[in-house]
Amino acid sequence: MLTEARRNNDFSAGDDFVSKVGTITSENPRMTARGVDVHYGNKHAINNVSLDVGENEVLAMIGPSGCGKSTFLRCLNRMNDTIDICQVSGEIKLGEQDIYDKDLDVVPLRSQVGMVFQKPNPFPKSIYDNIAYGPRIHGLVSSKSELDELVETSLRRAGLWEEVKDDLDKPGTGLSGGQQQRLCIARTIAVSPEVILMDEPCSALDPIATAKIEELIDELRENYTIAIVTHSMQQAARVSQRTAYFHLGKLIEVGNTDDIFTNPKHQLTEDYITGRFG
Amino acid sequence: MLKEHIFNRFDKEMSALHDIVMQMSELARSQMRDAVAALMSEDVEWAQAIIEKDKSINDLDKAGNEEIIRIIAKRQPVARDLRDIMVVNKVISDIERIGDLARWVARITLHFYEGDRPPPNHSLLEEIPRMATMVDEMLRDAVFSLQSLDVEKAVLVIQAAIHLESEFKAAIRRLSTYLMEDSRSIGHVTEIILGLRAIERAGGHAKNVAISAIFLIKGVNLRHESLEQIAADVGLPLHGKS
Repeated sequence: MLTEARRNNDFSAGDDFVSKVGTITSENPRMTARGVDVHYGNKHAINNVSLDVGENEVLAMIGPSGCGKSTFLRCLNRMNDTIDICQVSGEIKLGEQDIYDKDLDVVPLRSQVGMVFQKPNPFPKSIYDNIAYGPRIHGLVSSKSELDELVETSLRRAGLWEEVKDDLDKPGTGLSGGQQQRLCIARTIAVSPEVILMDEPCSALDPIATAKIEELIDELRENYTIAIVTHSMQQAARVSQRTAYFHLGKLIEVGNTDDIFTNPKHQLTEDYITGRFG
Repeated sequence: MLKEHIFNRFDKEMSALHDIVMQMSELARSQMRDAVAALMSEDVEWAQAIIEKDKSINDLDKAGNEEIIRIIAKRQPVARDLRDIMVVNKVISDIERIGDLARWVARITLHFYEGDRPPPNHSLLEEIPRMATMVDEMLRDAVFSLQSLDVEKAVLVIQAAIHLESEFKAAIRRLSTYLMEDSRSIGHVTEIILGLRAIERAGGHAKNVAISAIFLIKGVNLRHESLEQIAADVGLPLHGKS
């Protein structure tokens, strides 16, 4: 039996859901976005979003499909530059550096702000070369032994070394999905990024591979700043310290993950994370 | 805006859980009312039946707990769904305890009127029905506040708990005075004080239900807070504070 108030989920009697977004700032911001707007032609994909990504923190971005979370993530290393009709305005900084400065070279930017995609995308090369490729083209190593060491360190940090150490010359594409994704993370780490962006990194993985990636994310947090887009509420709750909820291109609410998943302040956040979004 | 859960089944499961809360609260209230009535009417058989009936509340408590574990395992609720299920878990325990305390009151009837022992002076019992009525109303209102998401009603229950405590203290004073005049009634008075204490504790559990309701609605944990603090936290004035 449900009372009328419960049937309508009417928590408004005692509730004061606010329209405030929450604390957009982070204690130790590594990246700061202020007043960011993104247009794809006439479509306003991101509407005046301001948000920090803090050092040694995992920021999870959640929201329904088309809410702008991936678009926002891609703004953080100028991946949207590759889309002709995409226009980004506002300010995004990595430390003190305006990443949309017209004189800025995006190649080193993308090594500083690395990205891991939804589907693992290893190069059609050996496991070793998948890792070695970035450091070579960025000139990060000066000798073969240095490169060997970097490959091993990167694979170790990605939790993959023990599984592939005897097969470094085998193709990266021959690994399992979860291993391929960890290879991609190792490849990202190899160029010493400050920030790692992850766009639904586990959506193509089984629960065990997902658990390994989540464990890895938690370990990587000690050395890197991480922003992750995920469709899994539980994953956002498990891996992140801060969570941002996007809806129709707007940042609706951001706060400590613990607060967002126990007592969100905004009705839209509440409806989405409890599965009442319609 | 669509307000029902996308997983319709989840709403049904939560609804079934709240049905258990309602059933338990109705049973616990009738158990306490009956326990007091059996005591006042010196009805040993009735008291015995009340003691046996406590099993029904225990069975519902067990069923509720099992259902809660199933729902958490299957649905992994968050936000207000999580608060809702945690609150139901707590409320079920509180109501089950009220059932135990009603059984305690029923036992007093057996102690007083079973066998050939001299019965107590009825004037010693006068606070028992009055306090039990207060607890009955508190539990009714606390469960109402939970089901209808009524913060104001929940605050009134918390306020009533303070009144109940005053009544309990006044009763202790009166019974102590009586004891000073007639020390032979120490056995009866001790039993009655324990009964009053059981009723007062039942009121404490009803108050917990009200606090749980506020946690569900407002998301603030007000356990162990003063009434003034609770009223301030939920932004409500106190009505005729007692």
